[in-house]
Amino acid sequence: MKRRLLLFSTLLALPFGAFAGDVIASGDVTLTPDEIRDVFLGEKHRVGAIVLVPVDNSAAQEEFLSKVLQTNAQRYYSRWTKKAFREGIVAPALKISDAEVIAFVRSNPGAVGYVKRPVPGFKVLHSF
Amino acid sequence: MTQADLKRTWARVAACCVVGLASLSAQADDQAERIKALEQRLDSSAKLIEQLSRRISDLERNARSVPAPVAAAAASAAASAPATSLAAAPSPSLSSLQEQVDQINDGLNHRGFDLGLPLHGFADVQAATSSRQDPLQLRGFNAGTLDLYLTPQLGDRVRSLVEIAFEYDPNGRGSQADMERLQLGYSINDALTLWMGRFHTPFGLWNTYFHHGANLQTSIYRPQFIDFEDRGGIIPAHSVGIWASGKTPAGPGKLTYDAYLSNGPSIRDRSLDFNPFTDDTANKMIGFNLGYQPAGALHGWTVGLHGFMSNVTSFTPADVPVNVARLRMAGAYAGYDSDDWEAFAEYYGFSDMNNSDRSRHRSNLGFVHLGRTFGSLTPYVRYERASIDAQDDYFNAQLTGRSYTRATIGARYALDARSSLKFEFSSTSEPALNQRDELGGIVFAPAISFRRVSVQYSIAF
Repeated sequence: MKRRLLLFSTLLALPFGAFAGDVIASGDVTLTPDEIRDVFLGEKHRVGAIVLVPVDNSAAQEEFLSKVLQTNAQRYYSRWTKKAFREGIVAPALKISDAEVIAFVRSNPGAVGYVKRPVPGFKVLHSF
Repeated sequence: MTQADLKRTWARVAACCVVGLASLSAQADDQAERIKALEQRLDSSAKLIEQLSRRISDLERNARSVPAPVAAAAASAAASAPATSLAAAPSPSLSSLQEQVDQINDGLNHRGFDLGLPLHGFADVQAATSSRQDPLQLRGFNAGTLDLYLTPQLGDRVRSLVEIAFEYDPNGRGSQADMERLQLGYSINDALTLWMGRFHTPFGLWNTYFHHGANLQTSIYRPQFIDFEDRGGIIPAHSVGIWASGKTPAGPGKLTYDAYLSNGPSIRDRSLDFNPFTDDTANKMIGFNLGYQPAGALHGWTVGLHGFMSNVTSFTPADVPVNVARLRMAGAYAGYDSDDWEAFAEYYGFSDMNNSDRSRHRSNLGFVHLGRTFGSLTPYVRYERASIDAQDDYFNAQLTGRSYTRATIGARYALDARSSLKFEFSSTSEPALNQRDELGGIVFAPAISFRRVSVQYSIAF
C-alpha cells in the first residue's frame, strides 16, 4: 500500500517538477533568480563592470515567462512598451531557437539567455 | 529545416542565374544564337540543380543514419563551440553541414548593435462634445496626437531618447511638430544615469508614466493641472537641462531618485513657457523626486516625495517683465501599477511668494485616480481638486491658474495588446476670481461649470 501511495504521489509530482529549461550566461556572469527576473524586466543592467544583455528565446519563452517572471507574453511586452517609453531602454532581442540563443550568448559578453535543452559547456544560472 | 532552406536557396540562385543570363542575352543581335546559348546555359543550370539535389539527399540520408539522441544533441548544440560533443565520430558531410550552420549563426549573432533603429510611437483619434462653458469647445471629431519615439542604443553606456509629437494647436487652427524629448544620457551604473537635453519633468508619477503615450494612459485626458503647458497645464511638464536618475536596492525594495536643474519657466501670453531654447532669465529650476518601490507583498507600489523651486517672471507681449513670483512646491505621491489594478494619488503643495510685496501664498492641488481591469475592460474614476490662492502671482498670471474640481468616470477597452477604445465623461467646476492679464492688469474671470464626453481610439506601434 505504501509503495502504491509513493508511486501515485511521484506520478502526481512529475508534471509540476518537470524541467522546462535553463537560464545560461556568458563569461563570469552570476545571477540569482531574483536578479534574472530584474534583468529580463529591465530593472538590472549591470553586474560590476559587465553590461548585461538579455535575450529571449521564442522556443522556450512561454515557460520562461510563466515560471521565472510569473507573467505572460502580453503582459511582458506591455510592460516593455512602458519601460521603453519611460526610460529609453529596449526590450531583449528575440531569438527563435536554442541554437540562436547559444550562439548569441557565446559571442556576446554579458549575454543572458535561456534554452529548452541542457547545453554542455555553459554555466547554468537557474533551471526552470 | 536546413536542407529545405538549402534547396530553396540553390533554386533561387539558379533562377537568378537564368534571369541574369536571359537579360544579358537580350542584347544580342542574333535571335537564334541567343536562344541556343540560353538553352545551353539553362541545361547546365538544371544539371547543377540536379547535382545539388543529389548532394542534399546524401546529406539527409547521413543525418538519418545518426542515432536519434546524438542527432538531437547535434541540433540543440549546433552553434555551441565544442563541436566535439556532438558525436563521437560524425560523418564528414554532417560536420560540414554543422560548420555551415555555425557560421550562419555566428554571422547572425555578430551583428552587434547594427540592427537598424526601431521606431515606436502612439497615435489617437477622438470624438468629443462638451457643454457651452468648456474652454475647449469640443464639438466633433479630432485627430489627436501622433507621437514617435526612438531609443538609439549607441553603446554600453551611452543612452538616448528622441520623441517627436505631431498635433493640432489647442485652437485647432494649425498643426505643430514638437521635439517632445531629446535627451542624451550616460549610464555610469544602475544607480546613476546622467541625462542632458529636453525631458519630461520627473514630478509625481503620472507625468513620466504616460505623457503623450495615449495608449498607455487609461484615461483620455490628463489631470488638468498637470496637462501640457500649451493645453492649460500650470506646472512645467517639460524641462530642458540636466537630470540625474537611478535606482538602487534599499531594504526589501528599491530606492528611486531624480534630481534636475533646468531652464526656469516664464509666463508669456498667460501660459507657462518652460523656455526650451534658452533661458530668458538667470533663474533656474531645481527639482527632485525620491521614491521607494517595496518588494514582496507590496510589489507594484511606489511611494515618494517630490518638489521643485524657481523664480518665475511674467512678461508682457512686448517682453517687459511684469512681476516675479518665487515658486516653491513640495508634495507626495503614491501609485500602484499591476496587471489588474492601477491607482495614483498625487499631491502638490505650493508655498509661493510674490516678489512685489513679499506676500506668501499657499495652494494645494491633487488628484486620486483608480482603475480596475476585468479582462479587456478597465473602468476608472478620478477626482481632481485645485485650491489655489488667487493672489499668487505665479497662478493668477496664467489663464488656467485657478481653483477647480473635476470628477471623471470612464472605461478603457483593450481591443488587443496595442490598441484600445476609451469612453470618458467628466464634470468640472471653476469658481469666479480676479486674474492678471498679459499687461498685469486685473481681469475678472466668471465662474464656469462644464461637462465633457469623449471617445478615443488609440494605438501603440
